[in-house]
Amino acid sequence: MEKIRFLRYNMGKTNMSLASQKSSTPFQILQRTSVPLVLFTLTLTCLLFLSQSVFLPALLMVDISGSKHNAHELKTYHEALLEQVKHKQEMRSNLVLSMQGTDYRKLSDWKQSHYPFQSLLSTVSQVSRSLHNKDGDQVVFIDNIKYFPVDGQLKLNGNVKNAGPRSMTILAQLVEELRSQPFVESLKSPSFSRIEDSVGGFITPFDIQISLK
Amino acid sequence: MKILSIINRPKVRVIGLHIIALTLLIISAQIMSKQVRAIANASQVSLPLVAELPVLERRLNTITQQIEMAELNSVLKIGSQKEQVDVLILPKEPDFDRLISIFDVLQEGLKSKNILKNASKIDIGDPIEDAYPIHFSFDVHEEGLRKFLSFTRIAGLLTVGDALSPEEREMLIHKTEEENPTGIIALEQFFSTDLLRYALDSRSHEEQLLRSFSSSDFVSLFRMTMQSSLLREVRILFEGDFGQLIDDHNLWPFPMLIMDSINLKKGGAPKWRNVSVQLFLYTAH
Repeated sequence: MEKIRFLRYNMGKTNMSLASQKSSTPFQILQRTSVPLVLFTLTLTCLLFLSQSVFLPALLMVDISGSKHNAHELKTYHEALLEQVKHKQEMRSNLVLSMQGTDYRKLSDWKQSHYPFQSLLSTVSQVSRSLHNKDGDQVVFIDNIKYFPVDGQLKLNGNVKNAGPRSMTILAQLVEELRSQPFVESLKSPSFSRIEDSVGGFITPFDIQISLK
Repeated sequence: MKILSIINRPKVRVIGLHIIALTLLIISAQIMSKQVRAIANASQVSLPLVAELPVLERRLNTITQQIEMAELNSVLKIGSQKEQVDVLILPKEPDFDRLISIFDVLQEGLKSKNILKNASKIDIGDPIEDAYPIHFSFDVHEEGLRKFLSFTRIAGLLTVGDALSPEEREMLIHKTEEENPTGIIALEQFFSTDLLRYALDSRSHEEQLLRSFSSSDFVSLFRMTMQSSLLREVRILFEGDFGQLIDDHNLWPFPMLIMDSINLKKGGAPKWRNVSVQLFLYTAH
């Protein structure tokens, strides 16, 4: 009997606690979870901190020529090496070619930096010869070429003839062809006009000014 | 006491503990994202760098060795070249007699081939800072014009290295590093070869350099540079009698001449042009 009474008492207690659990407020839930939550997050943070400060650096270290470097050090070392190679290359170039830093070297390098007139001349002649009428005759005639290497200016003066009424179209083609050349920085378009010559043909004179790169 | 009593209140304690937990969670998330970044960085940055670093280190060693070798060799050559520059190329006072003699030899050479005529007198103007304007005109055939333009480009240059652009020089130097680092001495000697001596016997100078390099890569790059650079014009200008005459009359090296302007007009015959040119003769400060 005693035993039965004890069991009933215990069952009653359990039912009471279940009943009280069922009626827990959100605050009571929060109250019960707060300490475990803090303990969990604290452990997690500590473990992550440990991995961040000890394990990860040890795992990500790279052995280069007997010394260990992390990613940041590798990047810095790489940049320093690149800088050193560049510096040494300059030193080597200065040694291989004497008189660096002198007026002579500055003038000779400056002289070398100008576009060779011969190659400009060849390109202009080639472009002007590439334009012709339907019979294959030359139509662009350049009378005067002025070159100012120091200012990087090229001036062409001439006319388009033997092209009939297409003379202005041919001039436009010439301008476009010249503009597409790699040495041209800018080209001042000529004025387009057509005049009749003594034998009834058409002539389009031009004056083209090119700024070189 | 008041603070303690506030903390001991259940509501405050619960809220406080949750704020601490939330803060720790945020810190954990940050550490985690940092670690992810570090791992990603290691695979994207470190691994390629690891592959590149030994190459760079080897390159640095090679260049350092080349510098040591070049230093020994360069000490010998600088003095004589500097003297030629100071006396003949960029003198303090211009030597007009020598300049006129050079133009005379050039003119006579072109006239003898019937590719130049009607040369005007040479006008020398007052100096502008340290440069004297020189003006003259002439009628010239296309071939003669090519030679005259080559002359103006070469005037003032002393060595083979001077006639190469910085890019051309750097390409050859870089190739020695790949093919034969000790070949830098031969290349340095080639660069310091006098331009006229080279033009008079270009083949032997080129072969002397190529003896230090066996790879076809270097040979083809070298041959290409010799054909595309100003050195080709140097060889063409000095071929025949002109180079020998210049040498015999002690007119080499030419003074520093830089073209200011050139005006080409149609000549009296096909392929002939009337040329009017202004050059600047430079002197030392």
